[in-house]
Amino acid sequence: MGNSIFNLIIIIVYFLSLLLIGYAASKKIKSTSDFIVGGRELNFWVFVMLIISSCASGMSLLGSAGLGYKTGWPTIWEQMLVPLACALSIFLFGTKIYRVSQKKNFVTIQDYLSLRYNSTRSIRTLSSIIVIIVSTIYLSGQYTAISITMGWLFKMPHEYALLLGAVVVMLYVILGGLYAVAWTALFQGVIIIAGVLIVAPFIIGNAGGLTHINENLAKIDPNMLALAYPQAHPPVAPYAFATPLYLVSFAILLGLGLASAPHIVSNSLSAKRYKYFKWAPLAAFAVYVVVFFLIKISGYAARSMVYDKTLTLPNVANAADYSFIAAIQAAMPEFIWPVFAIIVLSAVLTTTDSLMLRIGSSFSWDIYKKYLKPDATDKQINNVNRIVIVVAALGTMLAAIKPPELLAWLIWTGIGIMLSTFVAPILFGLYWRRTTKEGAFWGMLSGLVAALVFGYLAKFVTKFPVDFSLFSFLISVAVLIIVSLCTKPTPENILDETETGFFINKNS
Amino acid sequence: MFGLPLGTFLGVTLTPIAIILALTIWALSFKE
Repeated sequence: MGNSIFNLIIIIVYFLSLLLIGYAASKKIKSTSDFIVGGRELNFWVFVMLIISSCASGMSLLGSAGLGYKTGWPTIWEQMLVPLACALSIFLFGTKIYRVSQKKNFVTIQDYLSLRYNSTRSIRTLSSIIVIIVSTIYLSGQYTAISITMGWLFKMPHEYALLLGAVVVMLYVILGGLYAVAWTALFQGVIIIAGVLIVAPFIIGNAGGLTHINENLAKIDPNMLALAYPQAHPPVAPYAFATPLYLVSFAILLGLGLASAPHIVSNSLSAKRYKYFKWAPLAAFAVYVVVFFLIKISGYAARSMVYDKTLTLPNVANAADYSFIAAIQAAMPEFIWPVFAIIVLSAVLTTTDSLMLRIGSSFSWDIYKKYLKPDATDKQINNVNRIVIVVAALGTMLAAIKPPELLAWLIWTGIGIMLSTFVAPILFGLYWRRTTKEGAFWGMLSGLVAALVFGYLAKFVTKFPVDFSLFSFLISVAVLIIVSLCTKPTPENILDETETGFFINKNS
Repeated sequence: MFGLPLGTFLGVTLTPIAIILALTIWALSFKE
C-alpha cells in the first residue's frame, strides 16, 4: 500500500483516542462497582451503544458478510435475530434484574443467581467458571478478526497486529473498567454506524445495484433468493444448511442464547435510570437492524462482483470472511481504506473489552471476593480484576498467534454452552416461582455436559439437521423443571424480594 | 421488488417492521 504513513497516522490516532478515553475513565474509578458496572450511571445512549456493541463482534461483522457471501438471503434472519437478542436482553432479562439490583447493589449476574437461588457457593462458582471459560474461548476468536483486518489492510504481520490490538484494549480496560468500555463503545459505535451507512451504498452501487446483485445470486443458485433452503438432511449443498428446521434452532441460539450471555446481560446493571428500559429495546433494535442489514447486503454484493469477475477474494481457506473489506477496497478510493478498517476494528474491540471485563469480574468478584477472601477491600478486588484481565488478554493472544484448528468450532460450542447453561436458570428464575436452587444447579450442569457431548457429536460423529445446542438447551430446561418440581420450593420472601413471577413489571 | 421474489421481499421487510411495532407497544405500555 503506497500511503503507509497516512495509514499509520490513522491507526495511531484511533488507538490513542481509545487510550485517552481509558485514561479519562480511570479518574472516575473509586470503588469496585465503579470498575465493574460504571457506578450505575450510564446515560441512555451510552447504555444503548454499550449493549449493541457487545452484541456486534468483529467476527459478526466480517463473519456475517462472509455468511451472506456464501449463503445468500436464507441467512438474512441473522440480521434480525442478533438485534432482537439485544432488545430481548434488555427487556426480558435487564428490566427485572435492574430493579432488583437497585435494591441489592448487584455487580454481576452471578449476584442475581446467588440471591434468587438462596445459594452462596454452588451456583455462583459453577456459573462463574462457565463465564470465564466461555468468554475466554470467545475472546480468542475476536483476535482472528483483528488479524484479518490489520494484516490485510495495513500489511502488518499477524503477530504484531494481534499484539498491538490486544495491548491497546487491555490497557484501556484495566485503566477505566466499565466506564472505559462504555465510553469507547459510544465512540466506536458512532464510527461503526456512520462508516457502514456511508460505505454500504457505495459497495451496492459499485456491484451494479441491488436488483443486479439479486439477479446474479439467482444465477448462482435460485435458492439464494429464498427465505430458507429446502428442508433436506443432509442439505442440498454444503452451504445450504439454513433450512427451516435449522433456522428454528438458530433463532433460539441467537435470540435467547446471545440475549442471556453474561457479557451482554450484565450491561443492564450499569444504566443510570430505570426509565431507560422503556425505549432502549426499540432504540437498540432499530439502530442495529439497519446497520446489520447493510453489512449482509455488502456480502451479497461481494458475491455478485466475484460472479461478474470485477472482484477477487484472497486465495485462503476463509476467503468469504474477507468479502466485506474486499468490497470496500473495490468500491472506495485507496486513501480512504484505513478509515474503513477502523470500522471493523471498532466492532472487534467493543466486544473484546466487554469479554475481558466479564472474565476479570467473574474471578475477582464471584470467586476471589465471595469465596477466597471475603474481607478483601475494593482496591484489592480491582487489582485482582486487573491482573486477571492481563493474564486472560495475553494468554488468549498467545493462543491466537497459532490458532488451534478447532477455534471456529470452539467458538460456536461456546455460544451453545452459554445457551444451554444460562438461559434456563435466568429465564425460569425470573418468571417461574417454582424454580428451585437444585433445579437451577442441575439444569445448568446437565446443560453444560450435554452441550459438550452434542457439540462433540456434531463435529466429529454425525451432522444434525439443527444446531447441536438445541438438544442441550432442551435437556437443561427439562432437568430444571423436573428437579424443581421434585425439590422444596424457594421461600416466599426470597421470591418476593427478587420480584419472581410471570410478569416483567408488576405495575404494568 | 429489487429482483427478489415477493415472499422474500415481504419476509425481510415485514419481520423487522413487526418487531419494531412490538417493541413500540412494549415502550408505550411501560410504567416507570
